[in-house]
Parts: sequence; structure tokens; C-alpha cells
Amino acid sequence: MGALLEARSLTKLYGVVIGVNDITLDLEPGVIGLLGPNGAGKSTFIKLITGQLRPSEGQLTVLGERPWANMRLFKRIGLCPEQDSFYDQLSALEFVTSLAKISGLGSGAKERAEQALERVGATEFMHRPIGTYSKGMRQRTKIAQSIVHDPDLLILDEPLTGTDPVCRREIMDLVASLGEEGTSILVASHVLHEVQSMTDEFVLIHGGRILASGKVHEIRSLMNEFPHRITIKCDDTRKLAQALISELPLEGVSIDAEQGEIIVMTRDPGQFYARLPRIALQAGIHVRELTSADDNLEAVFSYLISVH
Amino acid sequence: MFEIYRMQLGQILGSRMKWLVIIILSLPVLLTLAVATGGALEELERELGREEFSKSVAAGVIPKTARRVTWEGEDILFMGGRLGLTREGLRYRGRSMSQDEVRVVNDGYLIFLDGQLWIDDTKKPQSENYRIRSHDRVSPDTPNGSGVTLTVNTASALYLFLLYPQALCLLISLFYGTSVLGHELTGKTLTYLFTRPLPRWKFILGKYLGIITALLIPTSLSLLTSWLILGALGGFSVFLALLAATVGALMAYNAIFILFGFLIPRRAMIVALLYGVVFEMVLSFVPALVNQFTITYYLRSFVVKTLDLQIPHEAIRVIGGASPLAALIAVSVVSVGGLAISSLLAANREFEIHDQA
Repeated sequence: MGALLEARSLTKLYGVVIGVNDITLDLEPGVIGLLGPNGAGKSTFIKLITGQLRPSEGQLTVLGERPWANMRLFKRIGLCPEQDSFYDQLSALEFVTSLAKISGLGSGAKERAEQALERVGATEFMHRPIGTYSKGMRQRTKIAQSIVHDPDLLILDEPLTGTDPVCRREIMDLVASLGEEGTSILVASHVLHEVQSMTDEFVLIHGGRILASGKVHEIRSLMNEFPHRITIKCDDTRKLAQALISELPLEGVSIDAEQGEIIVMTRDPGQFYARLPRIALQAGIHVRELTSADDNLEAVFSYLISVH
Repeated sequence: MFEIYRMQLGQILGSRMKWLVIIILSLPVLLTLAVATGGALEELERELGREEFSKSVAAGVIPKTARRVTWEGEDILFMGGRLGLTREGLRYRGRSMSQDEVRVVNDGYLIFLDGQLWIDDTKKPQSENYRIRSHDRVSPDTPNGSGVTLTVNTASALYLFLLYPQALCLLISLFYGTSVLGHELTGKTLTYLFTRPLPRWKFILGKYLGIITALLIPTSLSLLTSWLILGALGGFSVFLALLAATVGALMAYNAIFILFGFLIPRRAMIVALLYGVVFEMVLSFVPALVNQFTITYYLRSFVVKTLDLQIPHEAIRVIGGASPLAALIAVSVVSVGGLAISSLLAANREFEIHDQA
């Protein structure tokens, strides 16, 4: 297999606003994290890769093809987009089957859709309309439609946003097993920790430029300089906050009772994510949603830019 | 493409949306019911056929100085489907005239309308002959003595045309056609489709055929019901002609409104509404070439010609005088053209969906 992606002076302008700026990048097949704060140009870069946008300048090839309106390439890539949007009246099975047919799977589409939905753990609810789903179920459905046609390159845009701990774990395991099967995966995220748990290959993007690419340990120590902020949505904020403070070394905890949220600052997100489920279970608290803010990443990027 | 077609069908006829369609399409049936029980159409028919219609539509054609002539059946001469009339015969006594006599003697200003004859002695004739439709039933003992009754209820057929192809098809196409792209953009679902091996023209054609099928089923049922309420007027051919005009309207309007959606995505519906009201509603009745640029003019012509409706010669320019072939060409050109231009626009445009979450 040749190169996964080759960009040469790739630039995308929106009028006078720069989306991505002069990106030159070579990626080999594998699992790669695309990391950058919101507004860094991740989405623009992904839209260029998936042929939704045309480069203003420079060249881009993905799996040896120019992406713009390229039906050959579209058969080989799968995209799990960032937006949480569906045809809400359809069930997950109908939704994924329809998209599988459009991907050219023909009469085998329904069977393949069932397999993909089973793989993301959606079998139980796949006959209900998507409009009735929780965030986690929607996320699983969105991933199922991106893998149903067995793409050579899978692009996951913020796949862990708003998912509960169990769903996070399962999505991470899915990425790992797909990677082992030989699917190349590009995981875009604004949270280093999320990407880190899936791959150690990364591309750092900021201000429409590639700041760095390589192995994640190279910036790991840098990350620890800046505390990581995590928002937890749960039913008893006060009780969970107490339990967290007594069990974990935290930089700070604040409670937003109105929103039912706890905001935690930690220098060791790995330990936090590993221990949170047990702590919550022992305290008898139901954790609904975990969100990582990107401000620590923003801080790292500011630092990287200043040393560049 | 078939999958896009199927999805579009489901979007319109599935779950909550179908109630909207049902409500929209039951309104005209209720209107027809009200009109039929109130006897408004008979009234209109009478007016159309006699005085009001002559005055309003053919104003200036029948001069103020004209007077209505009561007639005794045999004094009208039918020749080859044409009504010939002589001054002599009219004034004095009934007798058959030869074709030559008719041509020579006819120097009055005459109008034959719904079995009634008007004459203006002060004017010179503009036309020697006044056409009688070949299938008009001719009988010497009709109540007004004109010898002519109509087989087709002109007012009712025109009422159904105005209600379905001209108004309803326009409005529902406006609603669905303009939102083909907008619905996928605001719903942020276009990404799923445009990152798959689906050429954009197939997306458009699939959506187009899906909308037409989804709208045609309830519209034709609604039309059928209204037609039955009006006593299955004029026989099944009237329903078929109106159905054909309905299909034509859905085809042409949806193609136009899909194009609007691609040309001006943000303002498509309001521009389409303006177009609908100004062109297809108002200007389509202006007999100064401009109405020949509206779709409804050709569809109306199609209904008038195929049903051979009794429209006065002078009003044909208002109602529609194009041949059925011209109507077919107009609908085809607009449909194919609208879809082709939309496809070209879509193929070269970047559609960006922003996530504001």
C-alpha cells in the first residue's frame, strides 16, 4: 500500500480567511491522531481530505487520489462527521442501510448494516427511531455508518465528544481493533488524552498550520505542564466532587449545581479517566457525560508557537 | 439514486410530515365541498356562460352597444363545425343558407357564447365565422333556444384547474422543491451523502423523482375526490386531463424550485413565493405575450385544448391558446433545464456544513 496522504503546500481560503495554510505533510497508513484546539483548521483539513472542499492552492492526494468529487475515493473512505445530525425519523438500521446502499453495497446492504451496528454495540436499539437516542447511541450510529462499507481510510471527527465512560471505552477498543485489521484511521480531537488512548502517532494542527507530527511521547511531558480541564455531568455533583477530591490528586474542583456539572482540573488525565468509573460506582453516582476542554491544549500550542 | 428517491419518499410521507401533506390536501376537497353544496359553481357557470364572463374576460370585445338576440334553433347554420350567421336570417325568419351566402352577408359584429348570440349593428364584423366545438351537443329545444348545450362544464373544469395544477401544485412544490438542498444543509445531513460515491446529479434526480411521487399520490387522490364531489363532471377524460396537468405542474415547478434552492439557498422560499404569486398567479392571466412565459399558461392551454372547453375566441389569449404539443415541450424544457442547471451548479459548488455545537 502506498502513502495514506500527501499534501503539498495545501491551502484553503474562504474569501480572505485562511482555513488551512500551506500544509505539506506525508502520512503512512496506520492510526493517526489529528490534534488541535477548536478553530485550528481540523475541520477544514478533514473536509479537504474527504472531498467536500477543493484546495485553493497546492495539492492533496489521499490513497493516491485527488479527493474533490472523486467517486473512486469515496468508495474507500468512511467519515464520522463532527455534527450530531441525523434523519431523526429513521431507525439506526434504516439509516445505515440506506447509506450502505449509496456506498454501493447493493442487496447485501442490510446485512452489512446489521454487522456494523453490532460492532459498535447498537444492536439493541437499532430498530428505534434515531430521534429517541441518547448522545452515546447517536455517536455509535454515526460510527456504524462510517465503517459499514469497510473503508481503507476511516476518519473520525471528535468521536468521543459527549459519550459516557462505557461508550468511550468501547469506541477506543473499536478503533484499536479496526487498526489491527489494517484500516487506516484518522482521529480528530481537541483533547490530547483522547487521541493518546488510541494511538501514539499524531499530527498537531493550529492556526491552519501543521505544528508538529510524530510520536505522542515527544510532547507528553509538555502536556503535563498544563492542567487538564474535564467537565463531568452527573446526578449528584456535590457527592461526586467530594469523592474525587479524597481519591485523586486534583489541581482544582468547581461545581455548577444549576447545570449539574463538576469541572475538574488535573495534571494527570490518564489516571483520572482510569479511576473515575470505580469512584463513581462506589459513591453510587450515575455519570452521564464527560467533556474535555481544550484549554490545556491551547496552552501547549501557545507554548509551541512561542518556541517555534 | 434509487436510495435517495426512497429516502425522499419516506421523508415526505413518513411519520410526522405525512400529516402536513394530508391537511394541505384535504383543504381543497373541503373547499370543493363548500362550493358544490353552495351551488357557487352553477352560478359561476351561468355567469361565465352568459353575461359576466362576456363582460369581464372579453371586455371590449362585446361592445356596450351590443344587444342579445333571442334565437330560434333552425336559424343558426352549422357547417363543418362552424357557425355561420346571416343578417337576413337573424332579423327575419329561419332558413338554411348556403356557405357562400354566409360569407357575403355577415357584416354585423357577432359573438357566439355559450349558446347565446350577440350582435352589434354599429360594428363591422371582425370575423365571418364563429366556431362551435365539434363535440358540443346541438339540440333545437334547449331552454334558451340557442340550440347548443355544452358537454363540458367549463367553469367547473377551470375551477379544478385553478385549484390543483395552478394553486396547490405550485404551493406544495414551492415548499418541498426549494428545500431539497436547504433541508439537508440545515439538518447537517448532507455530509453523509456527499462523502459517498453518489454523483450530485443523481442526488438531485433522486430527490426530484421522490418529491414528485410523494406529492402526486395524495394530490391525485384529492383531485379525484373533488372531481367526484362535482358529480364526475365531463366524464373520466376530464379527470385524466386535469391529472396530466397536475403531473406537468409538479414536474415543472419542482424543477424550477430546486434550481432556486441551488441559486439562492438562503432566500429560495421567499423568491419562489414571489415568482409563484407574480408570474404563475397574476401575470399568467395578462394576455400580452408575458403570460406565455408562465408554466401555468401552457398547462391551462393543455386542459382547454384537450377538453375543448367553450372559451370565447377573444378570451383564449388570456386563458391559454397553446397547443398540447407546445405544453408538452414547455414542461419538458423547464423540467430538464431546471434539473440540468441545478446539477451543474451542485457539481461545482462546495457545500460546507459548520458545526456550531
